[in-house]
Amino acid sequence: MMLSFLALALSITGCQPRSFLSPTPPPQADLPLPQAGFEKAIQPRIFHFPLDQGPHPNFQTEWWYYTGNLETPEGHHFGFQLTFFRRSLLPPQSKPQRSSAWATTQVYMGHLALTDVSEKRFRFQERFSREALGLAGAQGEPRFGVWLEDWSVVQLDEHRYQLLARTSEIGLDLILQDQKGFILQGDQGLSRKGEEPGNASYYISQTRLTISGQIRSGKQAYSVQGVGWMDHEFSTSALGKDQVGWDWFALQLDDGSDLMFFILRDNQGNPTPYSSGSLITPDGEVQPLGMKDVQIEVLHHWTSPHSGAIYPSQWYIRLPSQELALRVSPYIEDQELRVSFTYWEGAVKVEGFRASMPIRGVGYVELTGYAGSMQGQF
Amino acid sequence: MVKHPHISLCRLLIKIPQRYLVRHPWQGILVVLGIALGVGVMVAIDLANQNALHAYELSVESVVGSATHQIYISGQDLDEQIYVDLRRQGLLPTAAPILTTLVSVQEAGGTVFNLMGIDPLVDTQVRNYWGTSVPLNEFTALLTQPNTLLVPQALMDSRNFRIGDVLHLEIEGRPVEMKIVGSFPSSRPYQENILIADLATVQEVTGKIGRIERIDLILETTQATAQIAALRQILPAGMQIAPVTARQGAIENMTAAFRLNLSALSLLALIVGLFLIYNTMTFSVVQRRPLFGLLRSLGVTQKEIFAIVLSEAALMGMVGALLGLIIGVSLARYTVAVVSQTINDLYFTTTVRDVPLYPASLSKAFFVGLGATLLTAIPPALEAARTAPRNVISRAFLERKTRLSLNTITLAGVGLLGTGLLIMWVLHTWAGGFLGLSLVILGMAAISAFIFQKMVQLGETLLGHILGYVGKMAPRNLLRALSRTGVASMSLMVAVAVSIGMGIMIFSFRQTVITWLEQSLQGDIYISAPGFSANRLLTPIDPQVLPFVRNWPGVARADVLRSLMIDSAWGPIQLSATDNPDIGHERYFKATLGSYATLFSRFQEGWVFISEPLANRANLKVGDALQLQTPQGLHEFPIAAIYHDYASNSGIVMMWLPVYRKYWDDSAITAIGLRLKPGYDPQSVANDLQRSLPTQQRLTIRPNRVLRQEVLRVFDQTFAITSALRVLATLVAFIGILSALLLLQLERQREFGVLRALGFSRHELWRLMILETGLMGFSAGLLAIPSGLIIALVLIQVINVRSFGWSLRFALDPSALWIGMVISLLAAILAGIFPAFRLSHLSVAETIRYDS
Repeated sequence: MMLSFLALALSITGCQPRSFLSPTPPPQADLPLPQAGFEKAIQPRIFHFPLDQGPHPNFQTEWWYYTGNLETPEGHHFGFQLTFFRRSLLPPQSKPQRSSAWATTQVYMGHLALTDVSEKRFRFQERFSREALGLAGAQGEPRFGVWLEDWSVVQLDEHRYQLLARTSEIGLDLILQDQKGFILQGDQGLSRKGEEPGNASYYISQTRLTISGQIRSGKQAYSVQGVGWMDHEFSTSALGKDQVGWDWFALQLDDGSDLMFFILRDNQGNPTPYSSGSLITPDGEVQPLGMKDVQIEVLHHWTSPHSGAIYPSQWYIRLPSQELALRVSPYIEDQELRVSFTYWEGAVKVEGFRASMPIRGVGYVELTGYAGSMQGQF
Repeated sequence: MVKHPHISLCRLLIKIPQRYLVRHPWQGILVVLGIALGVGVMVAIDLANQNALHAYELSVESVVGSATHQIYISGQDLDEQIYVDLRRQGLLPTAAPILTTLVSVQEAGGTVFNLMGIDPLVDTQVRNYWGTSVPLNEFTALLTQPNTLLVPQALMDSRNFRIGDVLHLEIEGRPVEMKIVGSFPSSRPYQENILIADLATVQEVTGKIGRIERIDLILETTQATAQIAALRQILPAGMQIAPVTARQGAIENMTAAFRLNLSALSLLALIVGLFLIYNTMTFSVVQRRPLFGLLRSLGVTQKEIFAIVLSEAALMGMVGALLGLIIGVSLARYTVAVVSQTINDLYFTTTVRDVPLYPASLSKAFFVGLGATLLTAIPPALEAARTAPRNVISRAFLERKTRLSLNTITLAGVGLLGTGLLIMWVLHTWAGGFLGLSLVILGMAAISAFIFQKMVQLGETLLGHILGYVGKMAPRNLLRALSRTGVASMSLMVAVAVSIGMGIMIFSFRQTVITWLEQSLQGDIYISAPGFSANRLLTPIDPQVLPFVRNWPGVARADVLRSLMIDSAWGPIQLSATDNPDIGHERYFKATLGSYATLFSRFQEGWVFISEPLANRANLKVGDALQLQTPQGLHEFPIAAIYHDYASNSGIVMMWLPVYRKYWDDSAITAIGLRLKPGYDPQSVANDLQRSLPTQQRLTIRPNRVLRQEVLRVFDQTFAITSALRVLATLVAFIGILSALLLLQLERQREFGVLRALGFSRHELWRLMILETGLMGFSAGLLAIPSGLIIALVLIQVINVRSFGWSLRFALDPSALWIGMVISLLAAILAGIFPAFRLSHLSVAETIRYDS
């Protein structure tokens, strides 16, 4: 979902981003200002598919997030994440005329991760490319597709997609079948993140994708089946002042309903009023959720031995109105991605009760801002 | 002085040299000077060589980064689509494309920089220029705005550049303006000489739309073989994947001969210096025979005497070597510049400047200098140690011994000479050449003492007739003192001979180049685009120029040349394709298939001409096939002729232009040769063309005569270092002659005093002394002529061919001979004047009291 910050991803070397983070640009008047000229998410809009599944270069940032939980017939469990981030360096109207095909204003970043639960291994990789010569890009028509070199998701027919991605260590070759269609999050797809108008994004999801295919983890190949989730967001300046990060949950329950909720945290670590979510019924009906609808308690913390960041690592989530009580636990604790910025994104197991009936599920959780503020990164 | 029989050895070791050096400062000074010059030359050359090599390595590092392999087409850029396809297929795990060009920056005083067009999004995988990261706005401008670049922080500081400043660049002769949008840290020296731009920008400013130069990649050692195999499967024919080291190593090998040659020549200066040391040390030992005899009879052992003499040498060696380091470092400022220029002209363009001192070079030179001094001092030290306690005395004894062993020395000389020649003949290597040469020089030196004796004997008869008793006395005095005069004359001869030999070699080379130029440059006007190397004009000319000059009034014909560097099994070589129909007449051929007509028709059929250095290096003959990697894949080109060429020692392949275009699919041209109709003046046509050409590109338009002068100027520049070495060797020789003779004469102060007392006039004494030294100088100079000729022959016929593959015509330079003679005589006469002047101002009584 909402890992927005393509910005700092451009920190070239990958280690300590110095300056994409810097809130005040150096005083060089003739260099372009970061956000001028881009459209902002202010009003709800009418979505046209598949066109709106493709890129929106009038907005500065955009991403397509694919996550999922997979299992072999023998019960070998895996989690995967494949994310494409797009960042516009210039609004389309400012794009200069150039003769080289390499010239571009669009930069792409990709994150690929695989959690091998039995082996207790988490592998990830980051890549960058530019929208030029077909090296990276996205399209809505005639069929949706997004790619970065040999990582791609392409639409096969109305509800089917193929996801392909590999590194020297891991590989994914999956067919994704959409069960519920496009879910418009927030207010008809407009997801408010802060007080100021424009501190928002357009946010659409495919919350239940049934998956089958092959994966490779190390030298081993596996046939797998499972369930996945897709988030697509675009915005120009989403995070509000004092917001340092978020905890995002995307859970798929075995009664056919799906739950999305995000908590936007301020610099004190407290949830801000714009934290929100939705419950999607088995037939695709969306029920918006606000702060008052959801109670989240952290049961356990995990300290990353790599970055030293302390992440919440087990939650007790209650939706009293739904009589829903869930315990959410990571399949393995160490699912921290240390790429251009450090965050935790991992497969989780869900166990609990709905109206006293046991309920189970799987999902993905994303935790940002624990190893440094996300402020200024989108 | 040594009155106490129980004096400790330690004190003796210190006292004796100390006293001796204080009483004979000249000897100390001259030895120290000899060592200092020898070591100085060695240091200066070594620093220059190290610098050249290091500059090359840094230049490579600056563009290659930590890449292990490269994908490229020999002599051509790649289609960018290849890169995209490989990326989309996931076949480039860690890789980055690059397109570079050399530019000069007006605002930086015309300094040459390597403008690197990279994809900043992936480039950090193989190169890292940014340290941590780049500010977003700089990055945005670099990627999205045309004609933008990043400059090294050091350049920003030194030139007071600011972000937003516009730089005026010249790229392949065309003016281009580029705006500074940021800087990158330049903590390493090579980073100061690059400019960074987005690949798109460099494609645009070079006009190479759609092209990249190569793909740099890092393959993990364990997977490299499999990855290369996978890539080879899908790479089109002609496209290669090779380790970075292979291409780099080839160039380093090419320059190795050049650098080794310089090192060897610098060693010659040290050898000359060693003769000087040997001479002085021997002299000092002979002079102190009575002292050593006395010490021996007082109970000092042979070992102790040996130690005394050796410690003396060590002391002087150390002082001399240290002084040599200082001389070397100050000379290096000159040698580094000259050697870099030469390497730049002959091999590759480096953009790296300001390379630091190398402690290794300095310590190496110091220990070689000191070690050589000690080794050279061993024979005199042994001589001193062998002094029998009773045999304190007479030089007559020693002189008898010397004359007896003269035959042995001469015989040994003949042996050395023969062995040297044999080694050169048997060992066909560069090292064999230099080892042989060293032995030949030693051998000639040994023989020279014998010839010196014969010459002086002859002189006695002649001079006696002309100058009376003084004329007879001078040669006899020399003969009587053969133990010292012989060694001195030997060293003088060697020093002068080396100078003569190098002089003739350079002269022959120059004459050969002149002949070659006359044969090869037959057009009236030459047009080329400026590059950054004098010998390799590889910059394509604006395509509009050719049709324009073809229609220019007075132009009868325009021939074109396309030159480029390609990779071969023998390292990078130059490929030159021409459409000159007279090419069969216009090369200075060494070997051909047959008549010009056959030659030309074969040439058109796809046979090639290759230059001599390539033929030598690759061991190819006429009729053999030359295998070249073309963009169409490997192809064999039969060789129709081998021609002399002195522009490049990496080698040149000449090909018929249509044949070239068939394999390389490249329409660029890099030079145009114009023939004018009768009655047109090349200079004025060139001037008119310069004013009227329809291009933004700055082109060099030179009449034949100017181009020839240019080539010769580059030649002289190339040989500047060799000439400088010659001057230094000559200087060492001069000091050698001066010191040897000065010592001889000063030592005989008492003897001259006696002559005065016996009624010699001052005038007669002057005449005697100058005659003696003059005679030695003259005979040394005379002996140096044949030896110098032999050295020249070896340098020309053996060393040059083996080091560079160039064969030269021997051309006698009379000035080399008379300069040698003048140096000998001048130094000799100077050496006579000083003692004569001193003696003539002392009273007879004082002179006789003098006791050495």
